[in-house]
Amino acid sequence: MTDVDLRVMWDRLVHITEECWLTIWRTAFSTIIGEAQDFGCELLDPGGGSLAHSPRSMPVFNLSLPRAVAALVARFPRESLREGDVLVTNDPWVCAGHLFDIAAVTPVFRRGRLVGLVGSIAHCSDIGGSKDPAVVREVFEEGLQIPPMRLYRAGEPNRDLLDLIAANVRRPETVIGDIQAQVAANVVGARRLLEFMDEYGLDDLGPLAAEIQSRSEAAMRSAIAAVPDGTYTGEAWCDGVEVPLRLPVAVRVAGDALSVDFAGAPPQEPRGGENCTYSYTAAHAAYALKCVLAPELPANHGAYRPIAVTAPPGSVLACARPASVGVRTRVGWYLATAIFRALAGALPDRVKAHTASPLSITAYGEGFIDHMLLGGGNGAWRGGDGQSALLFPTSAANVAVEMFEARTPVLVERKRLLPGSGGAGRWRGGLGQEVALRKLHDDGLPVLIAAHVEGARVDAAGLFGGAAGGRAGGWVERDARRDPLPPGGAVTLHGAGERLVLQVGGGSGYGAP
Amino acid sequence: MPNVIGCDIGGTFTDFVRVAPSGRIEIGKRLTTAADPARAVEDGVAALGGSVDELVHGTTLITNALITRSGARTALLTTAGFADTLAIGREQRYDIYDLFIRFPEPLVPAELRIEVEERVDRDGNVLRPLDPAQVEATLTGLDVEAVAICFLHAYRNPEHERLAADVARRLGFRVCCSHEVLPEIREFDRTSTTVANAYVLPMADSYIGRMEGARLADRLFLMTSSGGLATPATARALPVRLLESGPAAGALAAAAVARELGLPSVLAFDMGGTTAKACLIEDGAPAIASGMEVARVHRFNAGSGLPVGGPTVDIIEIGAGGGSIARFDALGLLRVGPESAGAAPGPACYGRGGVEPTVTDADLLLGHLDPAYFLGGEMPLDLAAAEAAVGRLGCRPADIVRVVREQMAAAARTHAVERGKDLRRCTLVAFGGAGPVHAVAVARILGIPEVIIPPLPGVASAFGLLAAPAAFEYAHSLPVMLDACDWAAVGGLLEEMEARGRAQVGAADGVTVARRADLRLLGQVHELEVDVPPGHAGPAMGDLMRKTYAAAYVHRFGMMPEGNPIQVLNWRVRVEGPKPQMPAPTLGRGAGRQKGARVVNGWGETPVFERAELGAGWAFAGPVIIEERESTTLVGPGDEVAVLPHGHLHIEMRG
Repeated sequence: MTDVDLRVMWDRLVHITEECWLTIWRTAFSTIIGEAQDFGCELLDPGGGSLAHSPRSMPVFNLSLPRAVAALVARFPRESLREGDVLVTNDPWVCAGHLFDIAAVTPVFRRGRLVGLVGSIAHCSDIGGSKDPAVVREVFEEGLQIPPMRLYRAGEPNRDLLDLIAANVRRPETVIGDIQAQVAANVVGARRLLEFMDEYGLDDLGPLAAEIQSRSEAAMRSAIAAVPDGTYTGEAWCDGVEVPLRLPVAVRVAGDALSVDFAGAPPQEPRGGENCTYSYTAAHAAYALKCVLAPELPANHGAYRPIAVTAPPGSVLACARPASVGVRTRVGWYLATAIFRALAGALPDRVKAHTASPLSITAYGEGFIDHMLLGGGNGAWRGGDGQSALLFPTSAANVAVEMFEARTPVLVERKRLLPGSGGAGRWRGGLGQEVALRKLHDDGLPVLIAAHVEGARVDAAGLFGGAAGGRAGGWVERDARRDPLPPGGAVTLHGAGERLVLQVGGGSGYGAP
Repeated sequence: MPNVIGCDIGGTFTDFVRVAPSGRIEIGKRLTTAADPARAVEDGVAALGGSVDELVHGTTLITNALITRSGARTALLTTAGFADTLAIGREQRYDIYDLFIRFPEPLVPAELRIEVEERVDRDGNVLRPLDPAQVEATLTGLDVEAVAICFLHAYRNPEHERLAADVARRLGFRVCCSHEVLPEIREFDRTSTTVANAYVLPMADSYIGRMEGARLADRLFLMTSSGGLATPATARALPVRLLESGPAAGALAAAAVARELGLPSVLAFDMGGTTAKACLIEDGAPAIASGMEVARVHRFNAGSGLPVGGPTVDIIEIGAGGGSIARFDALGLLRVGPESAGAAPGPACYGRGGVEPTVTDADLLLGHLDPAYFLGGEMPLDLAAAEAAVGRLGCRPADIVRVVREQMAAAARTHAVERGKDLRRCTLVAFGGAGPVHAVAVARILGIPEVIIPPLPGVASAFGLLAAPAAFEYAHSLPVMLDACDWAAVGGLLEEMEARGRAQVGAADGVTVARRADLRLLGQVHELEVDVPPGHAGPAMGDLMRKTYAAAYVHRFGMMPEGNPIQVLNWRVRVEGPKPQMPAPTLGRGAGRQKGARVVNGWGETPVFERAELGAGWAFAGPVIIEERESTTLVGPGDEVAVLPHGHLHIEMRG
């Protein structure tokens, strides 16, 4: 295989995942998938190692799908799989950390032999359970759990499972429609993969996969080897359910291998849905390291092989069943900050200061469940001010205000940058933003808005003397009153006179101002 | 056939093709006069014998104004609460691993993004009326030329935009409203498009006005980004629709070649003085996209530019042309472009004051170009100046050429991969002044097995302008359920749009009408465009549309969920006049006498032929140079070139 052949075939694999991605995007029924793009598509070798992902894929999904595939294949051994099967799970401990994220995986057969797997994880718009994360104590209260199961058997839908899902979610036509978009993407991906193999006369992907993964691994190893050996420590603080939590990290570099240890992470929270499963923690940690060490390297199983992640079992970063996990981003989105801080001394021009947690808003009401995502101010870096209102570490897009309004009877009164919210520094943090919402009609129908405001109780100092950015926050205006947000952030608006104001924080600065 | 001229204004050259009623073809080329582009057009038309019946005109000036940020100082009026929409954008990272991505600065600076107290809801109801006096107070004395207006939900109810526009026009500003430019939901895309239009409005208006005033032809048309023709009035109001005007003409020219030669899959490669463009042509038609991005910060990343909505030929544009400047970047790596020496000062070898080395300078030093035969010898090139410029930079001319070829190939490959095409099954159709110089090398990098250089490649885009029929497209939102459709309303709408188009096209014979609609399963976020069958609007049409939709859905998305009702959102009608008859260019004669030889870097002594003297059937094994007035074709060692019956050079890659 010449370098040019490899380049061309590798590009094609990425393109196959991109076609899967476009299929989900273009056929989705929810705003969270169709507008905000909270999903990702991936192609895996027959052993379940990732080969390629779509360029706009959700980073954490790229890393958690192989874990989900491992669990699916453990339940349904390869020899039991048939052409046209679709396997599914949303188990937070093997998949992406909360029940909303559903993995759908299709084995691809060529001449009767398993040659690869194509799959996606997508954040469904609803999974039943409580709308208020503040009250949940166990995953059982958070909605429908789908253990590894068959969604399709040899091309035939498992109607029992689909009926069960439909009966357990608030907007079944939207949720089932989105799941079908995932299935369609797998159909497209499987078809394209077979066309590709026919075209190149490949009987299996093995040698190509090995080449892609070993080259990626070698590149990652040489990137790690360029970092001086040593143990680098850092930390981040998040709001926590009751009190702020400290998230310490130790990054150990030894030759061309790297380990991340979250020893010292606080015990899992007894309620509030902020616990991360190990699967989710490991994905966030590895993703942050990839950005720092080898941003230009295409990601796959090989690229991540040199990176090991550990977290204490039973901690908020490796919670045990049946912990509640629904809003685990409120903790997990800080892991990049902790890792960047740890590596700042060794790699001062490869990291950025703390980026404010994005804000996810879900609006529930008669006939609709729709989402809005708002990016916070990004951290500054050596040589640049942080970007304002940019979604990180998620790869999502926002939802156009007009689309959100067209689908919900909610009026967005303003959505603007927050002046002065960027942390001061030699390079300044990016600006956060503010949104104000009210009901469109005074019809007495309640609209519940679940807003995961994070970063309201803690300041994240910047790097090398840079200051913290402005905090997140929010309140409810009723007549002349200004009520604080309830714990957990679920607010019910009854009349058009009530206004919910939410603020996303600013990024931290880099270098003393 | 009337007396027509196609005229393509590029960043460096303005090209002309004149077709006389007899079918006789004359061509011309002049340096673009950037300060007053109409001047080069007037001179060029005069040189070809003066005024004609029809002049069709393509331009890259509008795009260049956006890329070089030389448009008008522009203000933006937004709904109160949304002044930052333009700056906030989609909030999405276009590269998930790059922590340090940048976005282009908005065309309107923060202090000129002005909120107006007004609000319309999703159904078009006015929640807060607009007060024209507030608009007047806001705009009075503002130091801007143009005003863009984009209010929320103006695609549903444009009344507030109209009121504000009236005030702004009364105050003497050039005005552009979002409901006129892109009446579609999603405020960021609509705002971005509206702002881009306003930003180039004064410039486009004055130069198109100048062109009209010059009375060069009885009828003046401009080519749109989607390859149709627009009247000057439309173009002056909606210049943003012309962003890809020049490239669209090139794509039409390549499409005509593809049809003529029966090539199913073509990569059109157009390399001029300032940029190179690539476009996929399947079954003789260029791909059409629903929007584009200009001024990308990162050339390969969608999302890193300024989005502009509206139908456009699906082209990738690379800042790599003959005039692209070579420099070392901060990492010490050689980079070519996107900065271009343009027409003034031009490459160092033009001898017009350029001191930085360009691709053309490198080509000259490598023996790719003959200093005495550029533009047929009209413009002698200064070898010493080229040598001095490259020497000052301290690199080898071969490095400059290699880097620019790799950049072009990488961009074309990404473009093809994103569209699921394997370039190794394509034919490269290369044109533009610099295209034939680099086509064979770029094809080799991409693994493309054959290359076509059409006749008169240096002015191919100008030819493409003459290949376009007059075409007018209308779109209207009329949401209906396919199962419970008010067919009378649909029929009335389709007929009304068709009648408008027919009136615009004018011709009675050879008019084609294409109707399309955007369909989705009820509740979906996006739509899929399908053809609306000809004939009377009624349940039978509904049945056909359902079948077409299901087939397109399964083809594109693998499978369609069962039992979901189908909704139609937008209806579109495109009325197209008869396709102009393209005359075949005069063929060369004779067996092709070698006119000379020169040393090409890496190839040694290489024979040179004059293209005009090569008749159909002539064949030669490379290395060989084939010169013509507007371009030079390089064929590498081992590759085989032959002249096809219609005068195209066919190069088979063997070397």
